[in-house]
Amino acid sequence: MKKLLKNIMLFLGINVLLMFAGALLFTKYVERNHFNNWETESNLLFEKDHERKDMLLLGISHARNFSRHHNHERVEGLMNRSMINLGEGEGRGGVLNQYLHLKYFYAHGGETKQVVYFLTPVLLYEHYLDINPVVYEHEPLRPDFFWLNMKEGSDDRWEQLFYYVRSKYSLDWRRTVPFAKSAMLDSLMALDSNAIQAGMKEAYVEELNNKTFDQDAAIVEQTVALAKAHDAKVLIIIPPALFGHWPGHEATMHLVKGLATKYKCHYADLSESVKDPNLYYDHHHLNGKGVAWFVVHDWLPADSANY
Amino acid sequence: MLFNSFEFLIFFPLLCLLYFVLPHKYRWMLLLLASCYFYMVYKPIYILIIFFTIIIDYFAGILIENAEGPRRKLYLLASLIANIGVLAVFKYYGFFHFNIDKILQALYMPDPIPLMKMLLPVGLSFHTFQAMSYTIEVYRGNQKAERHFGIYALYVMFFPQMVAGPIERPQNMLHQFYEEHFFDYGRISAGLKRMLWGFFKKVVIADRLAWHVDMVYNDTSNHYGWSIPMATFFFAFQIYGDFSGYSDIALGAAQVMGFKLMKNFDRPYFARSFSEFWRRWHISLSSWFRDYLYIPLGGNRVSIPRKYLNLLIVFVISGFWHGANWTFVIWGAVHGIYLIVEQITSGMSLRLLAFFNKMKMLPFYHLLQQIKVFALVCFAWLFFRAGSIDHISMLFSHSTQHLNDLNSTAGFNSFMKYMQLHNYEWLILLFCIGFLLLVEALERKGDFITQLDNRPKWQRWVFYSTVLWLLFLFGEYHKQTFIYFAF
Repeated sequence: MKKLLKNIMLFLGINVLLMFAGALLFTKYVERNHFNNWETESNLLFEKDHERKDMLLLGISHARNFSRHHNHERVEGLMNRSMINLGEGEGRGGVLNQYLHLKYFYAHGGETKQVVYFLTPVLLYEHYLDINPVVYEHEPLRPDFFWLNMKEGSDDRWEQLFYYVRSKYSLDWRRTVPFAKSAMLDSLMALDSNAIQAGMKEAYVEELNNKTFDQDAAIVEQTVALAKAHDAKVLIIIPPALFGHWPGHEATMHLVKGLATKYKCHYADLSESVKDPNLYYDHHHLNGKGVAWFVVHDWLPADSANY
Repeated sequence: MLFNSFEFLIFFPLLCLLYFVLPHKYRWMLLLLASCYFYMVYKPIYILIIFFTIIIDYFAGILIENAEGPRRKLYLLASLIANIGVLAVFKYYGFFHFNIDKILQALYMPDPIPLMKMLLPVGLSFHTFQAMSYTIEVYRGNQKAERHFGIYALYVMFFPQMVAGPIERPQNMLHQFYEEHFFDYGRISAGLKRMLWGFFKKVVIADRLAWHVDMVYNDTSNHYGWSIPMATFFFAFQIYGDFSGYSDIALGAAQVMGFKLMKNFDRPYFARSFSEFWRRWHISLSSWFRDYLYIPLGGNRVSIPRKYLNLLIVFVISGFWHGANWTFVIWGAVHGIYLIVEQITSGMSLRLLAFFNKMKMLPFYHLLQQIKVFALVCFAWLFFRAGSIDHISMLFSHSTQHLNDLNSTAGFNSFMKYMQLHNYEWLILLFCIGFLLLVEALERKGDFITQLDNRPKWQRWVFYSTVLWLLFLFGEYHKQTFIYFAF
């Protein structure tokens, strides 16, 4: 038995070590390039140790959108603050993913005066966002981030970690370069109910499940508590959508109000604040013009009491 | 539980550890409990169906052995009816209901049969056939009735082969549950290597190809020309990787615990004739049909037309065994026709063989035969994979359109993109299929794992490390079930 176990451990150990080493090498290969927050969908590629920012953004694509397409510079300029955006778009992360990114940020000596959480209701209902196997495909392989996920990751963490390592061997990863997309200035002409329905179907894969909501709400609370523990002010924003309220809006607001009372943080329901289709490039993502409009007319006023 | 799941990675080593630690007299209990758990992970309630057939066949076996004269046959019939009845209800009820409904509709008559929607219990056809082989063998006097209920239940439920075979015979399995299996380094290591190879076939070959196959077969209205033969070619390797991969994992898992299951595949795509193909493909099922249907029908010892009819009957039923759909029936019939034509033209084949032999071109002739058999087997897979008769006609009509698209570079590039074969995916598939075929070609001289065990250590390490890296780099781990679970 000893001999068998020894040989299995040796065989697997050597190969797994080589796999990990190869993934680290490919990580280094990509990291030769310098990335800014707005030039990548990854977080760890641009995040440095001991970052000091005025505000830190969390959320899904509605948060990430404030960095994409030169919006990052736009927001920083209009608000006159430095910003780090850890929001994850493309269905690559949910509330747990955001909590872990914030934890990693603090673990690396990061400091921020304010955490702005763009809490789209879909985040609280869609478990798949956190168990998506390719959730870390964009991230460079960092042993401590791997370890953090191993300890506190999702139920499907082993599959996620497997893909995290393997994705570093893919051609897509090796082709990762800082990108400079032109500003997204496309505008919607009008509200298209068919497109909204299709979008909702895509976003809400699961039904509005209270159990999922409760689990995710607990993680959002942990995230708020973590930010508060690091002396950051917290502002929770329900982001705008052309169609107004997302399914699950009421329950989300109930949660947000509860958090605001418990943790003395601020919130703003801005879901219906932008009604002009010209300010969106789809039904719930603001275009460049929309971001500028939203920052000046909605975000800054909502923030003035908090910041 | 799926073999290609994280749960199995925990389940199997734990079970093995307990198995070797426990005294021999308790091991059957452990295996039975583990098998129940393994099965119940799919859908717990369906274990009751297995228990039903186990109880029927257990008592049928004893009654057959104790009875004399026509009563023996009566007990056998009762057992067969119970088993086939379970199959009929859970697997074929919907099929018969649908077809009777169609006929009655055509006659403007109301359908008196109620529609019942039932999920097909995983691997039902496999354990039912295995249970049937037990009562038949007891009836024939080749096997003593098993008195130990637990051991008999384990014979039907032994987890490595319960849901997708090999369909074992009682003579091969039952005595093994009484034998004490000691910890043997060589055997366990060989079993684990076989499992690793099975995982490669399933996770790298089958599941990777499934993606490309499903793209065409699940969305045929948007695919034309070469994409259909290409997807069918891929399906040939997908189903082979899937099923033989499962068998390898099953054989390996059983081998680790000291059990020897029958070989289910023997390089079928290297067959030079259809009869050889069926001696190499799903051997346990082919031999089941041979022993329990073809030979009782008269086998070869009947007139030539009757022999051909027997062949056709066996293959049509074999097709129907695979699934309650006309597509499977057609698939079986096509293979039956292949065999009949092969037998009719056997004289011509012998003359060709003699000619090529005289020209000293025998290897070339063998290669041509292999290509012919493989191409026609691929053609038959089209019926197997199609979802319905309408789908088959769409596949045929679409495959004859846009055939010239590949003549231009732009057309070729768009084909590769449409089939998701760009970004070196085609190279990965080619490499993996080539690797599989290379290993199988080397198996001509005997079991590859045994051959490799006689090679220097570094060569073994390189080979198994290559397999492990292929699993790591190219494996698909989205919990794809095995195709044959549905049978």
